[in-house]
Amino acid sequence: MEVSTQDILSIKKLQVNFHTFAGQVKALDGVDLSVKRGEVLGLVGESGSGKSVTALSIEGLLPQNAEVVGGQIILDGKDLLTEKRGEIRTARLREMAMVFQDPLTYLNPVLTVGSQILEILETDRRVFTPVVVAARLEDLDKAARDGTLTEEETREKARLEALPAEQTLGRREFKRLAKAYAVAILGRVRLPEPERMFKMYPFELSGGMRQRTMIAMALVRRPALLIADEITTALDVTVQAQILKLLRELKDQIDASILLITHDLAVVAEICDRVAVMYAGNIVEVAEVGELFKNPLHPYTQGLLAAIPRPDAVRGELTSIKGSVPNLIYPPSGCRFHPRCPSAFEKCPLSKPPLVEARAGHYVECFLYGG
Amino acid sequence: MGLVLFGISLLMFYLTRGFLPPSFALAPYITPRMNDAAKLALAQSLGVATNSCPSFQAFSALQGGCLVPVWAQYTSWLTNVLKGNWGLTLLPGISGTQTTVSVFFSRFPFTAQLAVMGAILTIAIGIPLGIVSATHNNKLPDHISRIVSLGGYSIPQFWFGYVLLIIFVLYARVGGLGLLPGSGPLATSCAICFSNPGTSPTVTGAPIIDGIISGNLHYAWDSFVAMILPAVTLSITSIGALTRIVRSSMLEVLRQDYILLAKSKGLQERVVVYRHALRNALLPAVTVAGLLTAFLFGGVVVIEIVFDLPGVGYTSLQAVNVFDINFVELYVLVTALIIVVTNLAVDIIYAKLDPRIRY
Amino acid sequence: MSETEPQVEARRSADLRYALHLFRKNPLVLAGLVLSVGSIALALLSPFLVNSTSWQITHPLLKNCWNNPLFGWGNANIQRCPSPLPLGTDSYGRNLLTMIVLAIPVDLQIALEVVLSAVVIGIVFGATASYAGGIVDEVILRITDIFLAVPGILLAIVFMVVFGRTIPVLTGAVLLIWWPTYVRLVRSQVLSEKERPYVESLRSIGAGRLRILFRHVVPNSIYPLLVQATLDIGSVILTVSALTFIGLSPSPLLPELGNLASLGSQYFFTAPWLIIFPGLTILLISLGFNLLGDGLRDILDPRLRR
Repeated sequence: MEVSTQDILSIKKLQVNFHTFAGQVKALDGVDLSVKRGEVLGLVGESGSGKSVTALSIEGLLPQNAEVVGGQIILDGKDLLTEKRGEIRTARLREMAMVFQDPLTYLNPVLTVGSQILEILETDRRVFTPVVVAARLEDLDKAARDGTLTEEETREKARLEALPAEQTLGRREFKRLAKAYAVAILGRVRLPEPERMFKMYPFELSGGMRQRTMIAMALVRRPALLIADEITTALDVTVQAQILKLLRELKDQIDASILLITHDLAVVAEICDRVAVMYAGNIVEVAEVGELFKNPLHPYTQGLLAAIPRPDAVRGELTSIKGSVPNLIYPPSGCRFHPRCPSAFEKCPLSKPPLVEARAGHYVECFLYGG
Repeated sequence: MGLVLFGISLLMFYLTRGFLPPSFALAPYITPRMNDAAKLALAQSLGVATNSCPSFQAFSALQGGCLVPVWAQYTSWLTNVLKGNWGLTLLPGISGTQTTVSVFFSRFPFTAQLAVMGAILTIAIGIPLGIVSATHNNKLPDHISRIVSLGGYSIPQFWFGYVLLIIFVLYARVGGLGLLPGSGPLATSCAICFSNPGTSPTVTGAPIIDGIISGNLHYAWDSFVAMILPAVTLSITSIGALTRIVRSSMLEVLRQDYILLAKSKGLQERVVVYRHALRNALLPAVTVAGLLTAFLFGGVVVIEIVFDLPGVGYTSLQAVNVFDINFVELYVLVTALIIVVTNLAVDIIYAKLDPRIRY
Repeated sequence: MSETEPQVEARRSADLRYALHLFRKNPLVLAGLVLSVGSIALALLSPFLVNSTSWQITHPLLKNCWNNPLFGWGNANIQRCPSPLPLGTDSYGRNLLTMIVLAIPVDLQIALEVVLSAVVIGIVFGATASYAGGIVDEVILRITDIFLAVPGILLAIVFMVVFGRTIPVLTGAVLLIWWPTYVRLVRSQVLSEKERPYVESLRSIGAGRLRILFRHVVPNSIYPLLVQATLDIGSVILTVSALTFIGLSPSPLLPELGNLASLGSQYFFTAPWLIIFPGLTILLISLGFNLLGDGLRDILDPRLRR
C-alpha cells in the first residue's frame, strides 16, 4: 500500500524482535498498516498477536530487550524510526497520544489527577500558550455574552486579546490558565465536578472515571493520532459503552484519527470505520467494518466471526479455531496461520503471502486470493 | 512508644542486676575504709538490701530476709529515675564528683554532632548514588555505585577508620603535616587546619556550633576538619545500605506502568525520574531511617574509640567496665528515645508522601 | 489467576534453570561465591596448613617486625625481622599470616552459629506469631520492637560484661542483636503466604493448620530467609570483630580477626600491617558473603526476573 497524504499514520513492513532467555521472539513480521485522517481504525487480534507491540513501536516505548529490525513508521510525513530522542519526545507530546488499558496501574498513585494533566501542559509553555489562552478567551467571551463579566475579567480579556501570536506566557499566569483549561477538559470527558476532581488521587476514583482521566490526558494535547490500547477491557460493559460513546464525540471535536486496539469484535462493530485483523505478528485482513462482517475473506477472520456465540443460532457446539497461537520463537514457515487453517494448501508453508486487494478497499494476506 | 521505652529500661536493668550476685552492685561504691555497718547501710541505700536485714554478713551470705527481689529494685530505681535522680557517676577519675546526668549531657552534644554529620553524609551520598545506579542500570555508573555500596556495607568500620588515618595522616603529607588531623577532638596540626584556633566557650557542647556561635570561625573550621574522617568512617556502612535500598526501589518503580504513561505523555526524562519515579521510590527508603539511626548511634562507640574522641560512646565503654549501670541505662534510653522519635517522624513523612495511607 | 500446587512445582523447576543461567552470567556473584566458599575451605583446611596451637606461644624478641621482600612501608620507623615473613609479626612476635589463618575458622564458626540459631528462633517465633495472631502476635512484635530500638553494640557489650568474656557468651551476645530481624522476616513472609489461594484450597479439603504451616507455608517462605542469612554472615563477622576489637575477647592471645586488629591499634603508625591485614581479611570474607547474598536475592526474587 502506498503512502498517501490521506494517511496520518503509515506503517510499512515493520519487523520487531524481542531478545529473551528462551530465544528470539519474532513478534512483528512485516506489519503493513495505515490510518487515514479522521477515521477510526480498529486493530483486532488475540492476545499475543502483536497489537500492543505495534502501538508501543509507534510511540517508541518498546522495552529494552526489543529491537526494531526493519520497516518504517511514518507519522504525518516523518519516519519515527529515524528520529532522534528529543524529536520523538516532542512527537509524543504534540502529535500522538496513547491511552492504556488499566488506568489503575497507569496513573501515578501519589500525584493528584489534576497535576498529572497539568504537567503535560507545563512541559512546553511555548506550544501550549495559544491553546490555553484560546480556552480562557472562550470562557471570557461566554461570560461577556451572559453579562457576567467582572471588571478584572474585562481587563484580563483585553490583555489576552492583545497578546501577540508568538508570545509565551509567564510561568505563573500560564499555570493559572493551564489549570483552568485542564479543569475544562475534565468537564469535557464528562467527569462530574471537575474542579473537585482536579485535586483527587487516582485511588479515589472509579474505573470509569480513571479511564476518562486518561482520555483527558490525551485530549489536552490535541493529538493528530490517538492510540487506544484495549481501553475498555478492564471496564464493565455499561461503562464500556459510555467510554466508546465519549471517544466518538471527542474524535469529531478535536479532529483526530483513532487507532483502536481491541480483542473484542463487538467494540469494533460499535465505533470503527475500518478494521485490520492481526494474527501472529502480521496484518491478515483490512476492510471497512460492514464489509468485513459481511464478507470475511481470510480463514482466520472467518474463524473469529464464527466463534462468536449467537443466542439465535441453532443448538450445536461452540466452534473454535483449532490449534493454538504459535510459538513466535520458532514461528511456522510461510503463512503463519497455515497450521490451523482449514483451507491451507501446498503454497502456504512456502512463503508469506503478500497483501492483495481482493475486493474494493478490502485487503487480504492469503494465497487463496492471489499472490 | 512509652511501652517500648519501659521495656528497654526493664530489659537493661534486669540484664545488669538480675544475673549477678548483689554484691556486684555494691562493688563500685565500696571504699577500703568502710566497715560492715557502713556497707550494710550502703546496700540498703542502693535498694539491694532490705531494711530488716540484721547484718552485712547475713547479706553477703544471701540470706532470704535480706535480699530485695530484682523487680522491687527496679521499681525503686524507676521512681528515682523519674524524679530525675540518676545517681552519681562512677567513671574513673571523676567518680562520685558529678551526677550521671551532668556527665552524660555534657558529652552527648559532641556525639550528636558526629551522628548528625554521619546522617547528612549518608543521605547526601546514598540517595543520589542509588538514583544514578538505577537510571543507568547495568552500565558503568551502576557498576561503580554497586561496588561502592557493597564495599561500604562489607567494610569493618574500625579498619576503615585506621586506613583513612594511615592514608591521610601518614602518607598524604603536605608541608610535613598530614592532610587531615590525627586522633583527638580538635585539630592541632594538619595541612588544611589553622594550627592555633584558640578555644571557644562551651555553649552547646558541640564544638563546631560553639565555634560559630562565639564567632571563632577558626575553631569551628578546625573542629569541622577534625570530624571529617570520623564522619566518613561512621557513615560508610549506612551509605552502602541506603544506596542499595534506593537502587532496588528505583528499579522497581521504573518498571511500573505509570512510568510508561509518563513517558508517553511526552514529559522530559528529568521530570519522569524525579517527579514520578523518585516520589514513589523514596517511600521504602524512608522507612529504614529508624534502622539507620540505630546503626549510626551504635557505630559512634567504635568510631570514638578509634579516633579517641571525648564523646558519650567512648564514655559508655568505660562505664560498662566499671559497672556504672545508671550511665549505660541513660545512654540506652536516650538513644532509644531518639530512634523512636525518628520512627514517628518517618511515619508522618510517609503519610504525607503517600496519599493512600491516610485512609 | 491462582495456581495449583503442581503448577507451582513445574514453574519452580523452570525457574531453577533460569536461575543457574543468571548465576553464570553475573561476575560479581561468582566473585562472591569464590570468596565465601574459599574462606570456608580455608577454615576447614587450617588445621592442616598451620600448627593449631602456635597461637599460645609468644616470641617477645620478634615483636612487631616486618620483612617482606616484595614491598616495604616507606617508613623509617619499621623494625625489620631477622628472616623473611609474608606478613610480619604481631605484638607477641607470632607470624601474622599464621594467626590470620587460625582466626578465620574461629570467626566463621561464630558467624554460622549465630545465623543458624537466629534462623531457627525466627522460624519458631515468627511462624507462631503470624499464625496465632492476636495477643501472642502483639507481644512478640513488641518484644522485637524493644530489641530493635537498642543500639546493638551496646546491648552486646552489656551482655558480655555481665556474663563474662568467653566465646559462647560472645555468640549469645551477637545472637541477641540478630534474632528480632528474623522473627519479623518470617512473620511477614508467613502472613503474606497465608493469604495465597492455595492455602485456602488446602484448608477447604480439611488439612490441619499445623500441617499447612510446616509442610507448605514455611518451605515456600524460605527464599528470603536464605538470602538474609547469607548476607548476615558477613554482617555478623563485622559485629563480632568490632566487639573483640574494643576489648571484649576471652584473651588477648586468641586468634580472632578483631582481636588481632586490636593488638595493633596502638602501633598503627609504626606497624600498620597489624591492623591492615586482619581487617582486610574481614573485609574480604564479609564482601564474599554479601556478594553471594545479593546475587541470590537477584536470582530468587521472582519479580526481578525479566
